[in-house]
Amino acid sequence: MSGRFRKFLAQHQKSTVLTFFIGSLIVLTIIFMAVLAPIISPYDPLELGVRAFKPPDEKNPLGTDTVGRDVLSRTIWGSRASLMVAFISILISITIGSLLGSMVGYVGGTLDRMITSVVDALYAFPTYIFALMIVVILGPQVLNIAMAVGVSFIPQYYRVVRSIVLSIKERLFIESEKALGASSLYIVRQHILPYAISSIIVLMSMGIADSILTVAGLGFLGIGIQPPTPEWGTDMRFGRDVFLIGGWWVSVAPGIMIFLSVMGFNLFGEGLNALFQERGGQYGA
Amino acid sequence: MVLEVVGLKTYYRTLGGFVKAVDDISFELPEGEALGLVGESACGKSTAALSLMRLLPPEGKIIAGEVYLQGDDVLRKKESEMRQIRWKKISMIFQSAMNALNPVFRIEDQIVEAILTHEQVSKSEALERTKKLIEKVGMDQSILRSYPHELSGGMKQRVVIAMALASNPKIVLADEPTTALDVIVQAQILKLIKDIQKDEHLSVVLITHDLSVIVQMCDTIAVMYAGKIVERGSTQIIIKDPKHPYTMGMLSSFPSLSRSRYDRLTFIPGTPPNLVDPPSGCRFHPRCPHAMDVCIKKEPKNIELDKGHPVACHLYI
Amino acid sequence: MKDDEIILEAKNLKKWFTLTTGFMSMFTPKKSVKAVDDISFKVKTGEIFGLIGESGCGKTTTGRLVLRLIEPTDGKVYFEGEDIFSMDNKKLLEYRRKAQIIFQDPFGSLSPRSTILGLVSEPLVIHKICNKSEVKKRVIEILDKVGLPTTQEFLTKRPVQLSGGQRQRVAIARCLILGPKFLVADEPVSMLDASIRGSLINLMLELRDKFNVTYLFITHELSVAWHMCDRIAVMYLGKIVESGPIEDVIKSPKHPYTQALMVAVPTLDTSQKFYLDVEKKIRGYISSSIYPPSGCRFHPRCPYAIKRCSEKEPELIEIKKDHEVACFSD
Repeated sequence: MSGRFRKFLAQHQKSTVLTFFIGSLIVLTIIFMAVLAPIISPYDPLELGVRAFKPPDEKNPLGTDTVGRDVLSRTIWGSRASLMVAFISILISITIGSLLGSMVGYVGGTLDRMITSVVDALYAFPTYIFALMIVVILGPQVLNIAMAVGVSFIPQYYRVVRSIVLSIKERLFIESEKALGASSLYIVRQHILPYAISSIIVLMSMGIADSILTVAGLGFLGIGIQPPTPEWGTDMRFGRDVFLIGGWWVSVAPGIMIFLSVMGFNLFGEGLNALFQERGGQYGA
Repeated sequence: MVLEVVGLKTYYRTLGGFVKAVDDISFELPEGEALGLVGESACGKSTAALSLMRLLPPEGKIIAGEVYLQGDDVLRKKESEMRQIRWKKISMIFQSAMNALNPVFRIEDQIVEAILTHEQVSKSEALERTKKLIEKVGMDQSILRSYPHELSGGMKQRVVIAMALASNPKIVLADEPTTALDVIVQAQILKLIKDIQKDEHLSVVLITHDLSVIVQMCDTIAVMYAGKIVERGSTQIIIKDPKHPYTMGMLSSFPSLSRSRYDRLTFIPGTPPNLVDPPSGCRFHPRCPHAMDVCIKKEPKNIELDKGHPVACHLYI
Repeated sequence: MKDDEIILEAKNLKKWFTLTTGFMSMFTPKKSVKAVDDISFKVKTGEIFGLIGESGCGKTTTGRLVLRLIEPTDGKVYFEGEDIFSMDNKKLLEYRRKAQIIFQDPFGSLSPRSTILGLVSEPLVIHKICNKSEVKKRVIEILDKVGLPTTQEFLTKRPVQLSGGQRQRVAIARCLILGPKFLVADEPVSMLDASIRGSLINLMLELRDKFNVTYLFITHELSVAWHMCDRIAVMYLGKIVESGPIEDVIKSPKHPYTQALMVAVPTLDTSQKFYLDVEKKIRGYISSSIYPPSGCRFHPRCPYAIKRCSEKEPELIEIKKDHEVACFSD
């Protein structure tokens, strides 16, 4: 076991391994936090309490908000909302983006030009504004938010998968597959998409970071996940209101969590990317 | 002898160890003659050429040997002295040199620049010489104002030859000068090289894996394998009466219109060896049909079977 | 030639590649590369038919057309009497079992991520030929036939771990496992080291003898064609200028271009003084395939050109048994 681990370490730069490990650590912590929330959370995050607006002490390690809810519990439970929306939206963007990108990229021609210009237009549109628009029009339900974030990230996957398809489809071994009689579907599935997988995985982790940030942003503006559901962005909103009157603790914890999770997923994605690049020779792409 | 190479050794430093690209080769070139250096890919022939010009990449180092250019050992010279020798006494046509032409400059500017870099002449004189050079390589002066992408492969190669001849060197090293060219263009370029060789009394070292080109162009042949010269001699002798098993293998595996159609082409089993850790003894022994015990243990020394025909093989020692 | 002796026939085959595409192309006159411009030839069952020419003559395009890897601009190709360009998908798939191609680049034509087992078994998967249990057995059979190891270790290797010669054998195994009758070999040995070319050439000859495979052998190397082919066709700028049994065409070429080629090919004959004659046989540089010369494509470079050569295109005429030439100066 340690032999394989040594081989792994030898293949990669120190900075890569460090980035990847730190990123994975943070990501795993957050995922555990979300999964084990009912167990590790000291209090019910929705429970209104008598001890309102108390700074951190032994009973409430991170203090309470203006209606007596425990900040620590809310912060722990808040990870669920962020991760849930992130995963749903990623699912939407990857599936639609990759399928469309690979199909269009392989077929090429006029279809390619038409669809790509539409997607490019979408890409040029600022993600935030787009998500905002959808939520404002359709209402701040969890599914709408997930959809808004999901759709606004489609162009990224579309572009990456399409460019990989374009670069692989001209290579000689693809012609060899055609000569053997393979159908286009087979070629894309068997010989082109595998090259895209590593890029998609990396995009995924970066995408999760992005979507956590977007959801928190929407929450902060008041049009994200609605109270009383705990969500880091929404909670920061409360915190902002009381910050100036001395209630610093209400926004600090969710704020740090946003920062940590975004950084964690980004590091994870970057580390993964570097790992794939450094092993690139094996995959010959 | 206008060129004499004695015991040249050039190694490359790589992460995996030293690549013994050229490992003790010796040959000589009389004035006005053409020597063909023939071998498969990665046998060290290009490295040998770069060593003669002292144009090795940073990882390459000449470990040992002497290279006498008109009696002068160029390996002992300083870089500043080498700059006076390169292109003036000895010049080189690189592999795919036609792709190394700068795409944003006109042809005449590139040739003029080549002249001005190596000689202290006026721009107008350089331009005059450029015009004459283009005519010498069989092209019309009108192409001088063109850009490289406007010329065909054959034309670009003529430009490259013109540049190599710009400062009237005595020796020209040509590394695969016609490999990327079509049959007809190749013949035209080779004819050009042959004509210039005769007119200018030029000495040429022709490096290629194409044995038939060497047979048609060169007076002497040196056969290289895994960094060593295994056999050397006049073209007539090497072709009519090859002694080294590798030479014999190459000849019988080489397709040629001069052979019978029904001649079965042979092949040499195995692959060229790893030059970081070459086979012990004779480097060819793993692929040699006549390998004996001594071949695995001892490296064969050169033995002159007839005058001017050294062979490195235990069959003759 | 009796009809059942002919396995493949090309009739007035044309492939023009249009250069200008896109929206703006509506406003400029269409420019096309006339890669293959009306050629016809027949390939006999069991022979090795060579398509010879320099780069840009259209031989590679012809090879692709004959297998319908690209669609023609005009013309027909008949395989065993059937028109391949009007085959539906089902028939086309069947055709692919009978006619295959070996590419020039042994590394590029193999998927770098696949194992040898994966590569050689893939045709069976694509054509759904046998059930899973049989696949490995068939692969081992074929590997043995092309002279490759059949060990488990070898089966799990990837192309990057093999030598050029081995890769080309894997490529041949891939074609062979389908049991084809017709193989297009597109410069199959030109990227291999000189010392191992012989073994691949011998392998291909052996396969022809053992399995009665017919070859369309495409190459620019006349010396290689000399040892491989029974009949050849010489192409220049998209046209066939001469064709016939290889001994006839090579030893007594009738078309000026073929004559120039014969003079320009270096051989191992020390008494050949080839560089002396090239100038007498051919002048100048190859013309563009976008704007080919009028009449006979070769006339600007031909030492025997007469007025008629620039006006009319010569047809392929049979001057001797089976030996055809397209030239006016006879």
